[in-house]
Amino acid sequence: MKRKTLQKSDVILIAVLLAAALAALGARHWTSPPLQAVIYSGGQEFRRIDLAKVKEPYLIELDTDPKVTIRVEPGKIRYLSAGCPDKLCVKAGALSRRGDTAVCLPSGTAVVIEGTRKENSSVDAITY
Amino acid sequence: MDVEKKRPGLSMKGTAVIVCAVLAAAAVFFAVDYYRTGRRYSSAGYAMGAVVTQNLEGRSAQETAAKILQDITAAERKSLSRTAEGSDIYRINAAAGNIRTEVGADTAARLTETLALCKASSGALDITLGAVSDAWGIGTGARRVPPAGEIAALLRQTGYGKVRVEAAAVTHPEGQSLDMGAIGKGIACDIAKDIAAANGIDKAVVSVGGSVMLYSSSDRETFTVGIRNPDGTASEYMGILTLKNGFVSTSGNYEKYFELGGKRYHHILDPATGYPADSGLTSVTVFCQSGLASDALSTACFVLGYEKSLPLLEKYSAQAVFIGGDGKVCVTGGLKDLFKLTDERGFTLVDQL
Repeated sequence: MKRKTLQKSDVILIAVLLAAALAALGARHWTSPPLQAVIYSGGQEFRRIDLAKVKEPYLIELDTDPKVTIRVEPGKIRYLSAGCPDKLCVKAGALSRRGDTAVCLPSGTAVVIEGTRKENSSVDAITY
Repeated sequence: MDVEKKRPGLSMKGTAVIVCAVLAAAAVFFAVDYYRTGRRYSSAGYAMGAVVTQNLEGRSAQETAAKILQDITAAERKSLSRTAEGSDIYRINAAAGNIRTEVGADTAARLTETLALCKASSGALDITLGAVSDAWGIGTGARRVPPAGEIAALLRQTGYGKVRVEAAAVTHPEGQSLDMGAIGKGIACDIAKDIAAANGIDKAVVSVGGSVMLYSSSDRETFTVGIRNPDGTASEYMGILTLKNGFVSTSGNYEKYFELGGKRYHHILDPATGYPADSGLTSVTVFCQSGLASDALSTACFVLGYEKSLPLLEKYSAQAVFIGGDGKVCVTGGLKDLFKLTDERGFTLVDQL
């Protein structure tokens, strides 16, 4: 009569297949589009920055009215200064997680962190 | 003699079955994952003077997101904006002086609904304060504290009760300026929901400047919404609401303010005084089944204060989270089990404010 129990070779075979599936999953995870900071000006996308690829901090000056300066750092981005009176955008601080947003209404500019993976943010939305 | 007896373990056939099963399972998994990823779309745009972020899931997620932004922008330009020449509100304001202004049916309907909310809130929400806001320089770089006499004079012209709305026309007195600022984002959320539903979207979370629309076609999905920490930056939250379909809107004194002589002047004016509302609240978050109402109610409740807000919320089957100036947090009954305080150092839950 046939023996139907699993032998070592079968277990190894299944393990290898599962490992391959997991490896493929992992590859998908790590290669998924990383966080991008998007700068909007006048309702249009002005620049898109891959924050993971930023090595050295640098500044972006927008020639809006009033003028604003944005500082880009590895993994984060912030309004450094703005020529408006209330400086809400500067007070928003450094943005680093998906969905983080800073807006400067007087200059009509905004910085939003976009990304495709939900894990980067622990809530679906923030009400303010 | 059976050949397979010599070979330990599963038969050749058995092994093949297992290999195929695992491969098939992996294939199905990847197909589903690919399918879902392909149906998800996130975007950010700019409308109504605010950032519009969208996370949609469904067959036509990308096209629908584009249409939502387009229609919100169109509503702003044609109906709601005070500053866009040619919008219905712009033309109504330009024609002040009991001249009848023909408007779109959508504008008339929105105004009717909003005026009902003004009335229900006993004027805590009043959309006729445009000229008073202007005197404060709200929304401009020229913020100032207007002289008391100037405010008093402007207040004589205000009053939602003086606005007359017909099916497709509006009449209101001279010197009065309509301002849909307190409800524009909520209306934008309503627009987003209608489009998402009409385009077969499965799941949608749309934020228009912090007013949030939650939609799932099954009505079973739950979403998490963080309430901004009034003392923190724009992306910090102090608690989380777990909600199903509906609309969430927050009014707080941390948005659009300026400081002068050690005093903070924020942008939500009390229609009774013409000065920034001072009801002891730092912010109010309202959840209900209409974007317009949630936005309107959050403003009205911020002006009214905790106690007077309760009957108004009840009337609109709305729930709310109130944050007091001292970090005390009060949640209405319907949200008690759905709200979780995450910043327990800065805030404490209380039964009433």
